[in-house]
Amino acid sequence: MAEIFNKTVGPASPEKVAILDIREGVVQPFQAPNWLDLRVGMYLSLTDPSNDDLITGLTDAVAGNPLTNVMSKDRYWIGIKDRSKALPGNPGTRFIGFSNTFALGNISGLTRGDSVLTSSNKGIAAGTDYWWPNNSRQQNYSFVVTDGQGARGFLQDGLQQHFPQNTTTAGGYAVLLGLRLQRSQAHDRRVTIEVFTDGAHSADMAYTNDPSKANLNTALEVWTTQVVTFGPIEMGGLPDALHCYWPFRKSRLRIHAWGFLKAK
Amino acid sequence: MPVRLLTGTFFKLDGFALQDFEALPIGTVQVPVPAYGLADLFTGASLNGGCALEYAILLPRQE
Repeated sequence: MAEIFNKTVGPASPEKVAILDIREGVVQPFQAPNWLDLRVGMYLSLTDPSNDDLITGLTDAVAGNPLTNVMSKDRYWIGIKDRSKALPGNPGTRFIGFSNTFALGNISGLTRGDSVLTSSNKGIAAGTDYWWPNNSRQQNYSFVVTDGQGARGFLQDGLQQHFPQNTTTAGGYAVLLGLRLQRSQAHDRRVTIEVFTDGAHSADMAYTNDPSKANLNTALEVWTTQVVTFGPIEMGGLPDALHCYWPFRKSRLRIHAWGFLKAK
Repeated sequence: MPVRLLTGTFFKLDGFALQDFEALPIGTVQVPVPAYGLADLFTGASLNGGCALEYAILLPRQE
């Protein structure tokens, strides 16, 4: 069961954090009437399976064999989806966001590769400062757009996510991940998606010790021009819920703040 | 509809819905919905401009 933890270490302390239980997902539907420019953001971090504020020793593998195939419940999903209770990749679901799923062809059922949480240098190599979820069959799978059982878009590099393991080096204990959706008119099912990239491997927008609603709002207002752009992509319908699911058993996902800004 | 000054330009914002968890009691989230075996995670969201975050649904643990 999820819990609310009072984080008392850090400049913004005390700060209340929602911690999802192991392999537990959350779907939070939203209403943003007639949006034309929708910006979604999340301050996230990881912690130990039982200790609410321990961010070391989280190395993990689901399946642990790059030649294996795993189900949606063994992938991570961070982004927006339809408001159903089904995980992305299942019939009728729609998802835009970060995942290590194999994203070519039909993504229902088993998809290629495993899921691993690797100690990283914030690139694609070893290091001790960040935690990097990836697929060891293709380490660059990091962002996907799915519509039911099919993939509508994906990227092979540039949008990976890194969760702090060393908060001093990272510059904070929470990472900011986000995306921007734009469409030309309300109810249009064609959407253009922007995701921040550091120009190398990462979609990590910022790190902070003050992951507040106010700072999230500011980050979404300012946005960025340093982005990867997808689309326009036509979908059967557009996601209308915030969504996180973390498949690992040696770590839990913490949500410090999340939400959206309807800029137009 | 608020108008804010941002980095030297006027920026028109329609609305937002942002949530942190400051309004929630510390501890396990205990609002079960027995029929589904799920739980609501209350939204302490700040809302504006017709935007809203609805009640969150915790998905059952995947084995």
